[in-house]
Amino acid sequence: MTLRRFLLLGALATAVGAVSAQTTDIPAAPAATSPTPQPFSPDTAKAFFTQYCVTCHNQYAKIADVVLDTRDYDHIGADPDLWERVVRKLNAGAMPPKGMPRPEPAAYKGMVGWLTTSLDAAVADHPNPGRSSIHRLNRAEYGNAVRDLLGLDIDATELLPADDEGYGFDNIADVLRVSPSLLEQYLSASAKVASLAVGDPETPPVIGVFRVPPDLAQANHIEGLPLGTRGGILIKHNFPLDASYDFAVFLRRNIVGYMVGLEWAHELEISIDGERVFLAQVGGPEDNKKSDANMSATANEIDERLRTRVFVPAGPHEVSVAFLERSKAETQEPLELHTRNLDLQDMNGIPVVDYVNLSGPYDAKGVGDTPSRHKIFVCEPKSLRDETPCATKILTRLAHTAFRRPVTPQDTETLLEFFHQGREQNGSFDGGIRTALRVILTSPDFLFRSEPDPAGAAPGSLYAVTDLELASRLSFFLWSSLPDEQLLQVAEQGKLQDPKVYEQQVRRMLADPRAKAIVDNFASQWLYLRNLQSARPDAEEFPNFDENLRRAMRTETEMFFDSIVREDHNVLDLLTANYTFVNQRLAEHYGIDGVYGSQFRRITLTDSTRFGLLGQASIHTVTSYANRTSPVLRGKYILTNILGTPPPSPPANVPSLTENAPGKEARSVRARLEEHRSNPVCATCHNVMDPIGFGLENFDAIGAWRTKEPGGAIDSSGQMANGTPVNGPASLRAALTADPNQFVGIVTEKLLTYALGRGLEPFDMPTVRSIVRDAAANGYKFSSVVLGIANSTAFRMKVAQQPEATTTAAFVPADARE
Amino acid sequence: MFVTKKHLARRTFLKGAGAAVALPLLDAMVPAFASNVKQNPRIGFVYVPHGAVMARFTPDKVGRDFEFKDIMKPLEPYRDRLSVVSRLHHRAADSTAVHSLSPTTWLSGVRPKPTQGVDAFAGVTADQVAAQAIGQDTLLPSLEIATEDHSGLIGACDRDYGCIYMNTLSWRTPTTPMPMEINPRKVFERMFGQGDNAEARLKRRREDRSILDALTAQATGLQKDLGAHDRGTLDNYLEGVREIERRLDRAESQVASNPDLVIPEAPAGIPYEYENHVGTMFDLLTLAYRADITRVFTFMMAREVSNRTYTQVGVTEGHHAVSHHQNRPEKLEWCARIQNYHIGLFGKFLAQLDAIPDGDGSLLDNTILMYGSNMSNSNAHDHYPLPVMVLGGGRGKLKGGQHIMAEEHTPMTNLLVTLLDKTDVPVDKLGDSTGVIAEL
Repeated sequence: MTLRRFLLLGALATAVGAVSAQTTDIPAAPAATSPTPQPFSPDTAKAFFTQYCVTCHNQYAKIADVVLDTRDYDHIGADPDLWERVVRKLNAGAMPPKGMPRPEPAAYKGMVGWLTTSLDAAVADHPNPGRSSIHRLNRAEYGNAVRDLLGLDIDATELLPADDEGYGFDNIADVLRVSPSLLEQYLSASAKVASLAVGDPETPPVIGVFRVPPDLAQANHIEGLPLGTRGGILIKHNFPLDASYDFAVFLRRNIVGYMVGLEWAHELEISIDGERVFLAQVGGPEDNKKSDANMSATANEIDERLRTRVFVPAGPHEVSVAFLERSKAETQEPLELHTRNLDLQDMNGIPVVDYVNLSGPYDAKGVGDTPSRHKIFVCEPKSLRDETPCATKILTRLAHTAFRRPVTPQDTETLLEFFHQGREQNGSFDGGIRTALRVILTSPDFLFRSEPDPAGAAPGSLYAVTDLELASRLSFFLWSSLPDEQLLQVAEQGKLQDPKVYEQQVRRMLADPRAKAIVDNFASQWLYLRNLQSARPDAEEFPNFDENLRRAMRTETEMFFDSIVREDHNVLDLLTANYTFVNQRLAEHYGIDGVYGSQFRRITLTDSTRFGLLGQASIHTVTSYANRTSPVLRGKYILTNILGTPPPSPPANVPSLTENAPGKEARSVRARLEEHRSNPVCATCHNVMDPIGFGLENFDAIGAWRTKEPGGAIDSSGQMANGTPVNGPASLRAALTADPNQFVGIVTEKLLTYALGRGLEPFDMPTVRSIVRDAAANGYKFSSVVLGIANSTAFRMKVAQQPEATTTAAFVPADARE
Repeated sequence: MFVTKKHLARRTFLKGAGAAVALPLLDAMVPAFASNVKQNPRIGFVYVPHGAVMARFTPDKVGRDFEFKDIMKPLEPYRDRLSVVSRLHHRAADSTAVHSLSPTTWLSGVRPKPTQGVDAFAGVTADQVAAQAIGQDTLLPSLEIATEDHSGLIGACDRDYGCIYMNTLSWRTPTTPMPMEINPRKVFERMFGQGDNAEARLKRRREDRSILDALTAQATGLQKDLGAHDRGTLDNYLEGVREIERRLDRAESQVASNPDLVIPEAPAGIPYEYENHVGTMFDLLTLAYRADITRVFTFMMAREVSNRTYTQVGVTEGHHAVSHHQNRPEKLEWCARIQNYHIGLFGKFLAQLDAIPDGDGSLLDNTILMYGSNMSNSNAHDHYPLPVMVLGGGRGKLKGGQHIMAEEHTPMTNLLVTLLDKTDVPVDKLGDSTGVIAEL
């Protein structure tokens, strides 16, 4: 029987039987977790579901694999897999579908309450903290761990491959695998990190190429570069030795090799940590004349001119390469500020930096005095006899932090063995430390977080993870990194069991700069911010989009999220806050006046359409196609990330939207989508997705406000799954926050998934609800959700391993079954 | 002894735009690591996403007298060593999770287990079957490379089939996907080791070797307290340790037997331009074949759902967006241009292989390459008929110069079984295979 026929049958049933049903959609979503009002009971539940749901969800039709007519309503808690699914749909107001009769709001709400109370009670009787597997450090965690262990900021993306993702995050224990090539990369990374951290006098010269994205506008000041400059690039670089380094700056040439912008004189400056080390003039009458005579020779000559060798002390330094700001009176520079230059043969414009080559070290003078050497060398041997005791001190300290546990004599013995081997091979004390450090950085004790079951734990029994394991769980949750000295110490003293100390540690960690990891790794994945880098808005359609805007969009949302965490806002402020962070570029994009310069500042928004995340261009851009908005993608995004009810994948052979053809009358995206929804197969999901996405139609594919599109005025009216009408961003926001528990619940789910590094199971949902309940009592403060997670059974306990089930081996590929 | 070709110190500055990243890998005449007395079979698989405009790909005429449609035009010079095999079907990829399943099923024909990755389970792929048979004597059993990772594509994977299936073409075991490397520098270091000169490399290899010994002890110690599942993870770690140990040992003996080896300069990193990136990867593959560093590779030239724009051929919209072409002429044209462009880049690789003498012929004569996509019409997201062709002489075992039209819906795996067979790796069956492509 087809789905369509069932829907018809359902409609028939409505007409005949559902006398008391309210046939219109209810206006507001129900609350999730209010205490059960009477008279809900297994009998009323059965009647409720029989009346509203079993038309489709019966043992014969089994729509969406949900069967509600043959259930044991006396024991809801015995079947959390099914009933948590039901609760999720009801919480989102997603069922019964549009057009079908719905119960009165009070009954609807009451039924959800009764269901969740039953489910919660069952789990309270039999708590299950779940079990996460041995956890490999992912790439971001590796980078942060190196930073915190050695005081060395590295770009881990240069050293290690991207990690696989599961449940929306790349820190899921079971998904983080180990392959020979990955291990090989750890081995190779350890050598690079150890040599940079300790310093290696034999470091060979290498060349680094630092490219300025071609669509970065260089007419104005770029954030991070010295004031009084325009364009250019900021290079944060670890210089391996006290030595000389070569800098070579290459200016952009157009496609025929003509160096652009030589008509007027410009001055290019290189500075290190704000201090000018090089200044040269390019352009002006003489260059211009020569270039007209021989463009290649002149361009080559200018390349030669923009080279310098500079002595730089070892360690991290900021190199800026930029032009000095000059009067624009004599040129046409600022006329087209934010327009991408699509003409590859264009000969007009101003000179801009294309890329910078940085090579060295040459004529090394020594390993220097770097922050990482400070951190590593807590002692210095005065004589050969001092060496072993000093090495022991250095290495046990490092191993303690890296392994996140007390160091054993066996550890020390191994590390000293490598110290001596390296000492001999490399001919120096430092060389010995370098080799031993490599062992630490490749050791499974560093690369894996393992939590062995306590000896003698009965399979399936619950136990609290050890204080040290808990410390690591906390630090990887809040910092994506190792516990620091203080946290380790508290854990080793057994004080983490003291609730006051525990809470104090959590709060301390949230306030620490390292908590930026929550933005970098949690928010950037939850909100898809990482996708901004691969967004490619159509250059014809959006000539205003450039790298500057891309960066500004990301910075805005990152700073905004960071402020929610740091200032401990109500989690709902993520959707409703009346402030944000902009620089001039973004403010102009938003049509906000009075913001000048490249630096970001907090502003209070007067226009409510920009309130909260859904008013931010980053979100609009990652939910659009290159050439147009997509209410479907936006609807799906909201369903998935804000409401927690991701729609199923589209069926095979899905017909696409008819595109506007040149020469024919343009039709709006809405009109084309409506055509799509007239197909009943498409309609089941799109009736839910699209109307939500329409609420954001006033934001174009790069988040600029618009009131028209090809095909007419923007119509941003739509409807939530529960029938609430929306019209524009403000009412969409209101609908999404009508039930605060709904949104806070989703944030909690996502954050708990991320904190545990595993997908959530039905038995975790009572935990989520209880965290939300407690947070409600604390004004839904961000810290109250974090503390709720940190104090949850799932976070603090573990279930001992059952005898091994052979799930994977028993898997039969679908082909064999079909 | 090793000689570094040009020491960086003597070439303080690199000249010219782009030159800095596209280092002349192929200028260094690297002799084979192992003496190449026995001619070794080599096999490689090159993958592109989002199918092909089949009407502009598949020749109309069947047999030896076939014509080159415009997408395939760049390969016309290799007609004698090229076969188009049409009407192949990958049933394992037939699902709603097209983009997720296409890479993982392409070389296995086995539909994997639906999961977010926690208990991923997929078919062992043809390249790994080959690697286990012919890759054990080379420095690297196989190379897996790509040009994009998934870091900008969150939420793009399928809800039922996780990203783990989209991220690689290659599965060594049903539970071990082979990660694909996108950084040419790291590929280079896997091939040649790290260090500026012979002495440094040697020192490094020895240090690596002894560190690996220590890691074995540590992992074994850690393992004994863990449950079975976690022990499995550490088993993988230990297996990695052993494999790298074997590799270091092989490097040692091969270096010893090649006193005059010249190591080319390492690429600086990921080139900015796509064309340079792909070109550098093909250079490295050419080197790997020539020096017999590996005999098996997989290369994902672009990723599923990639929205890379191809402005170099006038396509300003993202590839994935364009691939949903709705049969609109200008979008079909864009698709075809991208496909033609990809094939052109691949053609340059063929030219390189053909220019290098190997035994009685060229490297290309002694190689088996498969090029294609695991989608047919990107608008319909279907997997029949697949665009696929076979290139190279296969040491005389491949009959080129033909368009083979298989029976309708012939399993794609039949071709894979055939290619393995020609590589001296006979297998009875792979995935849903039912036989071989006899004409090949």
